[in-house]
Amino acid sequence: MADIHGLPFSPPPDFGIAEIMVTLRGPSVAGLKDPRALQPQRAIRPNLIVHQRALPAESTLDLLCGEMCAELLTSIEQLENLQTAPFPFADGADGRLVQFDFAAAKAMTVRQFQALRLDGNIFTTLTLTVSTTTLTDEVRDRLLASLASMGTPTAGVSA
Amino acid sequence: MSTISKPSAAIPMPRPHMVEKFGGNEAGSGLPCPMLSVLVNEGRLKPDADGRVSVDAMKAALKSVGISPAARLILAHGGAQASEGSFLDKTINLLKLQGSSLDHKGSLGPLQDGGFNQPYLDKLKTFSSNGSGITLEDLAVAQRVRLKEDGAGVRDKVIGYAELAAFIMVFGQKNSAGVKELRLGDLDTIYKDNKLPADFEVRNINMFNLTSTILKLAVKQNTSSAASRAEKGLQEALGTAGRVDQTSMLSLGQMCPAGMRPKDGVGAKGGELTALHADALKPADGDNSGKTAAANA
Repeated sequence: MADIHGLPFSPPPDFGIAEIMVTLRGPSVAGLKDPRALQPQRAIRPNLIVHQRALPAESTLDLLCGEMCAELLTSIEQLENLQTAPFPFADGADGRLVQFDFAAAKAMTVRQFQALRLDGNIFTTLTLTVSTTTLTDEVRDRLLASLASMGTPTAGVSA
Repeated sequence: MSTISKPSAAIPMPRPHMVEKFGGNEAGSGLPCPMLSVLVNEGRLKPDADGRVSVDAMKAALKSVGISPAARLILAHGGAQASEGSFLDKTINLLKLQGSSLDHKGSLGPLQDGGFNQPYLDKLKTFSSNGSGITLEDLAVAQRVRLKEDGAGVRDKVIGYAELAAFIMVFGQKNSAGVKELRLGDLDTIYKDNKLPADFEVRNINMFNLTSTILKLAVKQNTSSAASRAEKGLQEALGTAGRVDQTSMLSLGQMCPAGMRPKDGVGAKGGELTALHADALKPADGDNSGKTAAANA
């Protein structure tokens, strides 16, 4: 019996994991942010999507980062402040960080960070979504430190 | 950090060869569907000057590129319903597709807005991840980009899945890695010249493999692109994660042979689909692929 992210079952022994996607959510925010406001208010619940898969061909972080930015620029409405930067992981591995803001609803903007890591042909992305209104420098640093803790896949995906 | 900005848009060119095929009718230049454009320009579909073709002629043309009875009945039905033709009168008006209930946002772009659009074709080619062609995965990203650019909705997306699945299944070729792709050179032939690729081979495309490809395309859009993850992050943040309650099968009754999408089209009703499947079981036109198609659908 295997335990895959809390799913206890016995997969066929000759089957390997081809792709991993895990969604983590922060605590929900109950009630209105400001009870004096008349317009509908929706709380932004921070979340993190970890996605890992084997690339069909060799690639580089810079190429993957460039492709990602091109796609984001042309496919996300009201995307603003797209920025890229090196993102060193805690274990010393090289990485890239893509950061941008986009509209979530009227007068509401979310900030998203997509951290990229490449181990051989195993490509990992960590997509962190947070509210721009509640994101302080301290919170950002804490969350990015969490992203940077991602290590080398041990028994992860295979092509 | 380095900051990046957005690109700009494009202008279509007239297609004289298409105008000629429609008896000099300038509207022929604006036929927005790549597959219909090829069928017309190759002489497999011969519209009158008003753009009308019979449903039987449409079915014969679709059969000539390998689409099975069940699929082509539904495609022809959708085309007739939305193009000011009539399924009862057995006519489809190719020149009424643009702006009809089958017209839709978020097509790949090379034939939209009334002519051939080279910048959109050039842009489509940039989605090739291997430099030789556009795979299903590349197509998933390209479609997602176009849907966003056009501000398209869920229905546009669903019909788009069906459109592109049919497109890659008819015109795709396996590359050296065994992956089906639309070769970059063939994209010029199809979109610009409106011709069949030189080594085009007819394959049997039934409802099962068409639907299977549609679902693969949908899954790839949901997991493999940065924009998909961005959107999923937003849905999770707002507590509006999408429901898997709508399949692309619903769109088959509403799309045209190359995949126009409806704005207000009602598509095929359940009873009509049953009748179509029953009809497909009859080997009336000399092949029996419909039996497999109906059994699988």
